[in-house]
Amino acid sequence: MKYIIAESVDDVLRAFSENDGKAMVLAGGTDLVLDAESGKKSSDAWIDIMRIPELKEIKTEDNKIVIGSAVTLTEIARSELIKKYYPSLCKGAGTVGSLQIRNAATLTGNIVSAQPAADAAMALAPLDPEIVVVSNEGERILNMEEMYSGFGKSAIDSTRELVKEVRIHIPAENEKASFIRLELRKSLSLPMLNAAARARVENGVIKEIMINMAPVGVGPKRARAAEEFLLGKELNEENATEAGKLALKDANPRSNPLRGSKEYREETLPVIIERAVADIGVQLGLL
Amino acid sequence: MESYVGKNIPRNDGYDKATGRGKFTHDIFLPHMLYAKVLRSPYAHAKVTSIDTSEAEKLKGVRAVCTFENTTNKLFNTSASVVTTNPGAEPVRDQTVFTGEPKYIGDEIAAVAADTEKIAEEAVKLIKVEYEELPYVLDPLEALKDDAPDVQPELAHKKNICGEVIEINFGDVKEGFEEAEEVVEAFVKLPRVKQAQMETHAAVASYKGDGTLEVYSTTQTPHPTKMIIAYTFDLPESKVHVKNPPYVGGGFGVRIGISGKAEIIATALTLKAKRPVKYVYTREEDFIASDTRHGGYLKGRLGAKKDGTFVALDTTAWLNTGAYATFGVELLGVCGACGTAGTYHVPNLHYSGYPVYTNQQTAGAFRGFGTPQGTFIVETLVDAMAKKLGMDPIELRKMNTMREEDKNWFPFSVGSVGINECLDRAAEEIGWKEKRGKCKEGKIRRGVGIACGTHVSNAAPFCVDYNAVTLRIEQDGSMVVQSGIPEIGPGSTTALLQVTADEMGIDFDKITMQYGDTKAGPFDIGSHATRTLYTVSQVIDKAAKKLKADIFDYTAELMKMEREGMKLEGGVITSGEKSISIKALAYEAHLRGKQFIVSECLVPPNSLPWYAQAAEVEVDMETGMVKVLKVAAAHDVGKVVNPRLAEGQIEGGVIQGVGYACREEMTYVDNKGFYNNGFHKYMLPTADDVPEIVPILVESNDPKGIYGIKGIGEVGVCPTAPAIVSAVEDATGIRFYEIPMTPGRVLKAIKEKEKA
Repeated sequence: MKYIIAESVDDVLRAFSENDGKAMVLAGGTDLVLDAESGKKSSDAWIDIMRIPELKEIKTEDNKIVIGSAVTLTEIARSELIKKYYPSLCKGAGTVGSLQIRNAATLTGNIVSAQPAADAAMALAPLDPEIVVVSNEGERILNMEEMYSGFGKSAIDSTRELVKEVRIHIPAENEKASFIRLELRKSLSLPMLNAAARARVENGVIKEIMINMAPVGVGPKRARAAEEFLLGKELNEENATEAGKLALKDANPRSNPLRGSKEYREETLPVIIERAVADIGVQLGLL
Repeated sequence: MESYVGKNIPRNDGYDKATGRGKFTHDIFLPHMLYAKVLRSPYAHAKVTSIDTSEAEKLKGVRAVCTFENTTNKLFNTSASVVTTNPGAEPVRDQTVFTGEPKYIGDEIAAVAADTEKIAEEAVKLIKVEYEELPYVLDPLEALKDDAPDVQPELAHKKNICGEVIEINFGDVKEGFEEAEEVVEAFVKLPRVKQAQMETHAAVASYKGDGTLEVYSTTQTPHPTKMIIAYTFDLPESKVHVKNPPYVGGGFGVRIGISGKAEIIATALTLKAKRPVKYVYTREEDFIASDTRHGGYLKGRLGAKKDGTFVALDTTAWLNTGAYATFGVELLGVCGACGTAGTYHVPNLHYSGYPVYTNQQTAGAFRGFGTPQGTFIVETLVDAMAKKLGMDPIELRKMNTMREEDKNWFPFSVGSVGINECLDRAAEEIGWKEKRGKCKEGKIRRGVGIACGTHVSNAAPFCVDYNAVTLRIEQDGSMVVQSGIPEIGPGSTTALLQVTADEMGIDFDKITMQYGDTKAGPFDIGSHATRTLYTVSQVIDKAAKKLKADIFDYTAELMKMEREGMKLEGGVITSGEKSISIKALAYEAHLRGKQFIVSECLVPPNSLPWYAQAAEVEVDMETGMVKVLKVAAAHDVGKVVNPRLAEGQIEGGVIQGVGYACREEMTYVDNKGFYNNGFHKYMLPTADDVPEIVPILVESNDPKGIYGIKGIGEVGVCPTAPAIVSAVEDATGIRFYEIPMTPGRVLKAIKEKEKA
């Protein structure tokens, strides 16, 4: 087993071609190392990207926030820049696993490991990010939904592709996002349910909205019926409640022996969607 | 003079543990050591029709394969009960090292010792076993039905009853209920929960050329462990040496006796391989194949006069002890004695306790040892009675709690009683008067609740519980205390030296303890039953008095000092105008061929530690989420030896109680076994989930305890769950008769109440 410490994106691309599908990107390794130990994932080499300077930055560029793929979740949770625009992303990133895990794990890793209810990925989803992926074939940009290819499956082949960075638009003045999780404990547990939302509101009326929820399908699932209902409506408690109910139309939660039965999840999903929407109203001073 | 007792002396093991230098069984590596892995049953009940180990034996690096076919099948019991059952009663012996008829998913069939863990793991997979599946039973109430499969057909007392049905009678319960003007009833269901101690079960056993067996172990009772190993393998006890290295990563009762089966399996393998064998349980094995707390059912009736005076209490427990007894019988006894008969002065009492065999992993000792279960049913009934009588739950409790002069069921006196002070101080800290019973509305509701109880400070006279120490003055006047107790984390070996220092008048930093080793001292049962500080301080007191008398006699003669009125304080012996340091005296004695050394042995008395905890909770009425905000935990510990250590014991217990009340539960999946195979699938509270805990130490100065000491180890966990249930009832108007109060259960109850 080889352990390659890449110092540039070019190093990674070279390692891809030299190992021809047998070397896997390690972006923190908090899932990958465990999966390798239990035999779920195997490869001949790991390409550690955590020391690539250009991937370690959080910055603004072309009116976008850019988060490099080697930025840790702790760095995101504590980033003044991100907190200024999207405190919900700090919250989601600051909720994954435990502090020790967040000190190593990354936002892109949280997406690529493809757990539906990954908290950082969830908080990111409604921000409608552009995810920049590079390979020896060139560069492509994916949206959040395109990152998932099935239940627990990523669209990224991390033996041939590197997620380079995540770009998020800087919010308008009347645009806010929220993140909420229903949890059995505060650390080291996946949520029973989580949800995130973002809305742009003009004169009390919702002009743009995205709502995501999990685990109710593949990845952070869009609550489209709820979004459609809210678009063009006033952001008030009544509409938030109605949106919560409509979220069930796009949700198909399963039972888990620990994290709640299907019935419980169906009972509480409307509540957390309602709260995620209402929280935006609170941040905007409308509720 | 008390120079050290009552002070926050930093614990002796603190530096080693905080800096990672402390040695635990997991850290032991011996030359030529082999590694063990175990083959476990995938079936809840089956018969092995054939087993073929030849492929495993052929694998390079495999040094020994043990199965039920080539290992002793002598019946034993992994719990210390097998060597501590009082004369007249027979302990239950219902386990073998390996079995050809597995009785639960996880039962041990065979084990391999190999050069590496990996080889051992591969070899286990190469063992070919054919099973014939047999009928099984999982629930204790089902198991008592006539047509239920028999778990231990030859060894059960009656249909799936392990050992005996425990009966406690006091007064006449029938007459009591005739006298009662109000009667309340309840039926509760309690979960199986796991100790989740930090260090998984482990042992390194080494059978040597001279016929001695050395075993490093995670046991919390070195001497009983030595006796069980010697018994099982027919070795002389004098040739079996059990020791902690010296630290043990927690216990909470899970290894009173053998650690799972670690020492036994490592011994079987070293006897065959003639090389040291290390067997470390994976966290999964620890979770699914070692003792848990007993889950099960309890019902009860409480009768009272209209003024609130309790006149009769009748309770029954059916607890799931799993496929083998371990501590099943004893635990049902404590559930009745401490849990139901201990707290209140009820003139007419009856309790029946059924330890029930099922085809699940064993339940055994876990902090509280039956008291949490008994306390849960009694406190449920007391709250119900308060509601029925329209009385304040604290007032009702205070008028019925045990008093010093009361005759109780226990075969020893009540002793000092600080329970009402505990109730008052916990209530005040939580804001009972301002908060309890106030109208609750809205999506988020708060409530407060309380519960109280008692336990014991050791196991005597219910089982064999005695200990011995040797005290020795070294040639420079420093002192050694030798005892067979372990240090499993509470700081007993620090607190005991505080007591010794004050008893002897020798400085704390001049005294060292040897412990955690059967060679450190003669028989001591070990750390269990809230006893270590309480009982060992008793025997130290006895030995210290004798040692001082010897020192004073010698000093009087050698130094021509007046024997009458001689004192030893701060390391200096004084009599009248004359004095000599213990350092100088010890050396003078050495030069004349004399060392001061005494051994003493004692069966301890017993004292009742009382407690009350008040909890404040917040309930989200839309999600069913219960959040514990604060627990005020008042404990009558008799006398505080080391406040920080005492508070630590309470805090740890409360956190386990919060988990028990709200989150923790072993969930069984049919044909697969327990779902909870590790921390990710078991909702033990993390440091981030700990509520505000306010420990309140009440000192009632027990007449039987040294310096007034009572026990503290287990009690922190005992009343927490019923206090939280009471607080949830205050917040929501819903009483829960089943824990943990998971969001799913709570929301379901809220919805049902809304419908009704």
